[in-house]
Amino acid sequence: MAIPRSLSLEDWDARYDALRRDGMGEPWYGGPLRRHLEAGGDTRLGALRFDDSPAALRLWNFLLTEEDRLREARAAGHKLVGAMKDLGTVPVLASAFPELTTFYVDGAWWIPCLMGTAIGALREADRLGVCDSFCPVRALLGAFVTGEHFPIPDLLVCSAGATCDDLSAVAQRVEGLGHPVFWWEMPHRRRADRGEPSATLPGGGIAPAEQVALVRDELGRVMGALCDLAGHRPESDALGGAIAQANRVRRTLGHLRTLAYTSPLCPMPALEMLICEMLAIHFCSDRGECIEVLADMIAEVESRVAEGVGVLGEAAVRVFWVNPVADLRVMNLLEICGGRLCGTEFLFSHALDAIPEDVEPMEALARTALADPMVGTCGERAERISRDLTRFGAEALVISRVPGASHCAFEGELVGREVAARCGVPVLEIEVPSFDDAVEPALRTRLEALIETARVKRKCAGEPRRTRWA
Amino acid sequence: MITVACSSFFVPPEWVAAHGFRPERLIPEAPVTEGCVACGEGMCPYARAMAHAALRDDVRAVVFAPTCDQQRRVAELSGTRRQDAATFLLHVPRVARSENCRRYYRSEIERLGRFLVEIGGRPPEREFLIETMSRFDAARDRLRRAAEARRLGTSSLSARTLAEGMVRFHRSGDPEVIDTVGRGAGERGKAGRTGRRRIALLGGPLFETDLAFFDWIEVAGGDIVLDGTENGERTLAAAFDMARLGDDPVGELVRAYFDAIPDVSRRSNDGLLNWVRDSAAAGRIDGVVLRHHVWCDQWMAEVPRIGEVAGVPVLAVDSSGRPDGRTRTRIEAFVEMLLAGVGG
Repeated sequence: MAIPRSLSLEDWDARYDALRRDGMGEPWYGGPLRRHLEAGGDTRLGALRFDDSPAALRLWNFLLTEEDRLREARAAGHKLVGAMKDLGTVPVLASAFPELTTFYVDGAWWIPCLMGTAIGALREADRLGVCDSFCPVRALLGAFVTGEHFPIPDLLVCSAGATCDDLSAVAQRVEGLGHPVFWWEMPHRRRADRGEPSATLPGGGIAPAEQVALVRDELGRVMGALCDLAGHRPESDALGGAIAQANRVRRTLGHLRTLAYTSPLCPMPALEMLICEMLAIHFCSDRGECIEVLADMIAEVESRVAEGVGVLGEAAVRVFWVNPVADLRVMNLLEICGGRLCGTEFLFSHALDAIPEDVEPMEALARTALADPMVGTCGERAERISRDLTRFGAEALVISRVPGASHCAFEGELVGREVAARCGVPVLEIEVPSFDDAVEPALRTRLEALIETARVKRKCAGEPRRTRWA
Repeated sequence: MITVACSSFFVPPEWVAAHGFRPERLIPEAPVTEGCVACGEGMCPYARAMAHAALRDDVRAVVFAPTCDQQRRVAELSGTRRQDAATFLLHVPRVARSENCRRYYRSEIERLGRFLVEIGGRPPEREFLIETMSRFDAARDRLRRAAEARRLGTSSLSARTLAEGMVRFHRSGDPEVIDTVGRGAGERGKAGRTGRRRIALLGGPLFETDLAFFDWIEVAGGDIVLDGTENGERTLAAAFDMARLGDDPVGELVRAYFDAIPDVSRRSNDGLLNWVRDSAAAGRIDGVVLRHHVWCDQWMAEVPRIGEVAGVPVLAVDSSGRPDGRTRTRIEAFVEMLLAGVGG
């Protein structure tokens, strides 16, 4: 097996031609990556480094053609549901209706990551008074004005309550533009009081039964809105089937993460792993194809692991990453600095955990929604991160702040201190803007310092464990 | 009397008082810049000050009812920092038109009652609860009437004096403190208000130091006839319905607080926008000064819509909580513009 290489977009042109000459088959959305830059305006692709496998090519093409899929779904008579904030629950609910296609309109968060900041969506957000003191999700507001990045959904559904203020405020402005939003409540997850009935959540957390009941009832209202949109109730076992299919994706992804994050040699770059994890949220609008894409990725990773080849050297420091990055290039930078991704918490760990199949479906989805790391305390979040970090054997933790995000001002310090104390790993908190060119040297220096610290710690592994704050 | 501090207008003080405690609304005097316990970049200065205020050791417990993300984090911090661990987080549902949420708010009020009993309070006798609620209701009614009299021009109370009275009411936990509102203050005559521009002050919570806004606006030639900040009349619970109060006191708390208080955190927040529209029309408002804390997404995002529904010019001023010349100059320029009849 050839040693995997890291490719630029230019490199991929030649690689694509070679693969085609060798008979590589592609799904209908296949093609060279460059077209997304030239025709789609995804200018930031030119700044990224990619994995060279056909599986990664399919992954990228699947991700970058979602808008086409949504427009085709509408043309085929599907109703479009635009979910916001809950990250992983509403799409499962809606997939019980064969004529509904769901996507996350707050996925617009990623528009500047792919297209840069000189885009109409951000200009429109500015014009509407939602400036860059908000997190990149403000692109969502502009996208509703320009209509360029996704078709306007037939139904908008957004959770409110224990959520970030940026998204909530932006979604409210979207409603003010004349796009009604169906709001449903997500309470702040608390500990059960003494003697109070409670329920175990996916991922190991616990919530009072009263809160699970509230979320179940609220999801019941969402289900009502979906029934109205579809014009009928779902078939009797459709929701159970939807949960089983979602779990298939989650289990596949779980297997991929375990392989990628625990193998002695890193079999898949951080950037592609981030994209894979994102698929779990709403299957990139095509659940069946999503499973196929992930299956390809697993096959690639399994063959690399079996052959003992990787994309980085053995000395790469194992890093656990917290929060999504507003500039995808930073995932490349981690590897350039000598790190490798070994575990993540991108604010949607509840979309990776299996949905319970041994309880009534609405109850199962309520428990899953309540497992959202953002609705609980930083302490609980740190506990989960510590557990996963230990499981994946990570040697360092990066907490990536989202610029302007209401939660990031506070949680990084709390989570960092707690994980450092529990796991004894060096911790680095950085802020990644949507366009990192100006701060890249500083980010590089700080990541290098973290990697060096972890390497020193590795050498001193026989010495007593100390807590370090890099 | 033992004090229980409350962070928010969604915690009914009469409920705390009926359990035998003195309810005190936490209103920080000024921002905190030294010895900071929540000093991360991007931290709202008010949330940071609350984090400090909640650590006071002269209160038995702190009840948080956060309406924003950062206040929710502050509640967590308080829970881990307070030695007695007497911190209670009351979840105020944001979704306004859900019967599930209404029920949940009621359940949270009842859970707060159990917490208050656990920390040494007594379960309120029904008659005592009704009597306590009635006393607070009467005090709020007097505050509302004082505000209305200012709008009608039949009161000589200054806007600042009224605002200070509101703060004193929230902080004291004593409805009778209303009797002292305006007492001893140097009042401006009613005649002194003619020709001034009628201003609505809107926004989130104010530090005590922010009361300087009232003076600046007055000196510039304006008159705040509507205080829609978090300390002002906007967040006063609705008047109790005495017939329903007797049948179901807790249900009446839910109606007067959860159903009735218009706030920017509600989803949808059309309750707030309707309140702004109606109040601006009824108060014959000439302009709105919207004051928000730096990093407050909720208020910042709504500035354009508030301008639309109020139908008058809006000046949005961010503030770190320290009165500063830049803000004062902007306010003066805004009022001058209104006086000159520009932008109306």
